[in-house]
Amino acid sequence: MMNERTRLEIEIARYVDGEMTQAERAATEQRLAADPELRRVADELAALRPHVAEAVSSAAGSIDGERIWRHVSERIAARPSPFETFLSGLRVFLQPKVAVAAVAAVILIGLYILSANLIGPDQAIAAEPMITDVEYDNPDIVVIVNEDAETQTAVVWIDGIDTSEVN
Amino acid sequence: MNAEKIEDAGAEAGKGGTAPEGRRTAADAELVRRTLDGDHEAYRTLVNAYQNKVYGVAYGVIHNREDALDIAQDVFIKAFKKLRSFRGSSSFYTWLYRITVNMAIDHARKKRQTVSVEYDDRLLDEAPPEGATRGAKQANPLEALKREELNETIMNAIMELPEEQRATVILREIEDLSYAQIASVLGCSIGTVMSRLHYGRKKLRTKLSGYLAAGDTT
Repeated sequence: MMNERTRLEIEIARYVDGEMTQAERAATEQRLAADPELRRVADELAALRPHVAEAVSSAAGSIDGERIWRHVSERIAARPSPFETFLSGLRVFLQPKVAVAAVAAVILIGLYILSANLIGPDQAIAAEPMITDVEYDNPDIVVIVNEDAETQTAVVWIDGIDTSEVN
Repeated sequence: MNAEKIEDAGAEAGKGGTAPEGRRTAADAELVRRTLDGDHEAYRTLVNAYQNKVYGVAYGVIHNREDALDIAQDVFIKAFKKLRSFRGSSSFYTWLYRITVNMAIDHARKKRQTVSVEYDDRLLDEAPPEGATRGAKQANPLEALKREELNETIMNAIMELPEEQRATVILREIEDLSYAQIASVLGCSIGTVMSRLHYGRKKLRTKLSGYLAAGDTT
């Protein structure tokens, strides 16, 4: 539990830091005028800032701005390593929209493969009508499959006999 | 210090949300947009604009020039890589300060774990940067000596603060950020900022009581 003294000092800090409304400032100034101890705290807080600023800036010194940019520009211009590229890709994949799209694509591909396996061999031939070569599956049987683009007719010749079916 | 001076200090300090700040935020947003479009010169402008502040905050937290410089470079590289994730809900410099403070505190913690006693030695060994006090020494050697001693006392006192308190004090006293801006940078409430400032400053006031009570503002 914050004691009254701490609460008052925090209020004084708000005053010194310019974090008060006009009404709060006026009330605090009245209180400071009536309380020398609080006035001392306010004076110390106000005096602290230039001391800290001077100490830090003096110790820090100045920097070579060109050195910073040179280093930064070299790094940002460099090609990312394969691992960084992988991580970057992974991060993109983990974006919600991309992840949903990827899952939807996997489901669609799965459904397509499933439907292709469910259709029969005849349908499979119809589904792949671009076979136009002579096939030598067996030395005794010559199978020739042609496609008539307009009628979608597969022509199958076995031993010179036309065994084609009209789809 | 009289009431008038305190009022001036307060009025000067509380300049969050001013028109120049709004213009700076808008200009930064435009430079960020151009950087994202592949304009490296736009990013160079941002680096030039903020490198001293980033370095100053890093130095205030870790008190080592070379490490602070390394951190400043890493901050700008990290900011560049994460620029697409910067959504503009806060200003660019607040976001940059957040990266800086996080990296500097991480660095300070790692250092504390590995070389816990080196800080004090280094504070004594590390010479002030060339030119930092030379002018003062030439003007008044005794005054310069007192100033150096005071600066060293202040830096030692700052380094004794816990990292979060230290960062809060630096952002307030050096970078002049408002309580709300500090809360945004540190990802904490304004109440936490006030509390950290109070306890941090109280320790500093105790260490510097001789200087502050005597009204020594040299």
